Amino acid sequence: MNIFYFIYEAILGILKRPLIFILNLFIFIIPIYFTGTSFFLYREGRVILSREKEKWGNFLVEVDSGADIRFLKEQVKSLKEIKGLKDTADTGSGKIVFQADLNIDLNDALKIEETKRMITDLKGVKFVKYQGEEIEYMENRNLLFAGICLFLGIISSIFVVKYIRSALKKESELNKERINILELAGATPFFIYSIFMAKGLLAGAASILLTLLFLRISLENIFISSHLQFFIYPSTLFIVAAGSLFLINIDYYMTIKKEIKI
Amino acid sequence: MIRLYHVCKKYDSSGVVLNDISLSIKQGEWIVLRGREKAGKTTLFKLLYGMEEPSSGEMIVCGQNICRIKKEKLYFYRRQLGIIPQDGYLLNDRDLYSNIDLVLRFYGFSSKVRKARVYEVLSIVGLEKKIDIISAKLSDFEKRKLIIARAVVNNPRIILADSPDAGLNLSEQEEIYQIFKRLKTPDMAILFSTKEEKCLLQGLREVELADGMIRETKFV
Repeated sequence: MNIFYFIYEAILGILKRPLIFILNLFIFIIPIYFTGTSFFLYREGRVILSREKEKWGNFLVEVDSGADIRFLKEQVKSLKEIKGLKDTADTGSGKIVFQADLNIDLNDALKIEETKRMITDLKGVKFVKYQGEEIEYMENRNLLFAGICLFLGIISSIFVVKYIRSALKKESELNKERINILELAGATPFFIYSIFMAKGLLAGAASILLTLLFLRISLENIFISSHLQFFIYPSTLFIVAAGSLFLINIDYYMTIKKEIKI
Repeated sequence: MIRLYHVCKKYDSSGVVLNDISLSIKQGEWIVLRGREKAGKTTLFKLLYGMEEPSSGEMIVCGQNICRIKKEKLYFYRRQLGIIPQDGYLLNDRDLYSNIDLVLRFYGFSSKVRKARVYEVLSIVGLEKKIDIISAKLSDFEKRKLIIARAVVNNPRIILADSPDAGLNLSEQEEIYQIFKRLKTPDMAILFSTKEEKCLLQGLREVELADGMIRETKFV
């Protein structure tokens, strides 16, 4: 099957110049990273951007009518993420509910879902609802950062599209022997350029995986921290990208120089 | 099999390179195209394999008018040809097998068929024992033979060989001619260009090209 051949050739090409492949990844990551960040910031309205010592809000826990409520409360209270329980007034709907106050720093937003899941899994729990004490102005700031990220995402996408165009041109020049041989032998352009396409797809897939990893780290450790740290990672990526471009050019001219033509 | 009618090729930079070329090559015929440097041989070959278009005239090859051939049909047209360019390329970091196998890939042959065919053509050119060697390690003469092997691996109907004997000593030239004799099948047409004043090939029609024009056609 030609598809395996294309992938095999693409991997060989990558192994021939692994450094360039890794550096290319960073370039592809930039726009995905920014647009991904803006998406998550917009979606995760709860994420707070400044480090504060305040705690998150509470859960409203609804219990099955037949459950041992005392035992259940003890189980909930034993969770280290819960600082205390409060009984809430029955609204007359017949539901048995109580409030569990959270003992989670604002830095650990991701623990909310985890704790919610742990309470839900307890026997006798019917429903758990998070009642966060969200801070409105923080949300507004989130939107502003989401906007900045989206803008950076668009700008870097334009840059990457331009970069891909020049990279394809260089890739064609570096593989001119193969292209020439195949053209003269009667290969269709699809066959000739499929190897480059496979290489691009591999780079794309790897970039997406890496970006997801970056985003995960960012969401956990950076965006919920100080503003300064928020900008460190994108700036580092930009520096890496600029360095990559420089190195790619150096590599290209070195390869051209070394070419052996018969 | 090949019919050229008043073919001209003119470049803006270098002027007229081919002037009123009319030539006919029958099925199974082997023609030697002799001419000095810049006589227009390479340009004629480029026109024949559709790398360039003539400024005027008609070219009928394998029943197709290649002056009016659509780009998407050009690929399939080239599959009938065995093209040996003057400045042929190799994948220098690959072994001989990969160099030839590359052009068999898009025909959809099984790996067994491809292997057998690669071995067969390498045997014809005398490189079968070096099948696993990286092509960069070959001598210039061996590289030339490898390019020939690659060009004929698809059993072409026509071989277009642009100066395959250029820069070789007499014994090497003789070996190249012998390879072509072994490759030649009764139906195959060969257009073989050479810069040599005295070509060692005998009993063939020889066309002399000079200043872009056919000066003389004779049997040698």
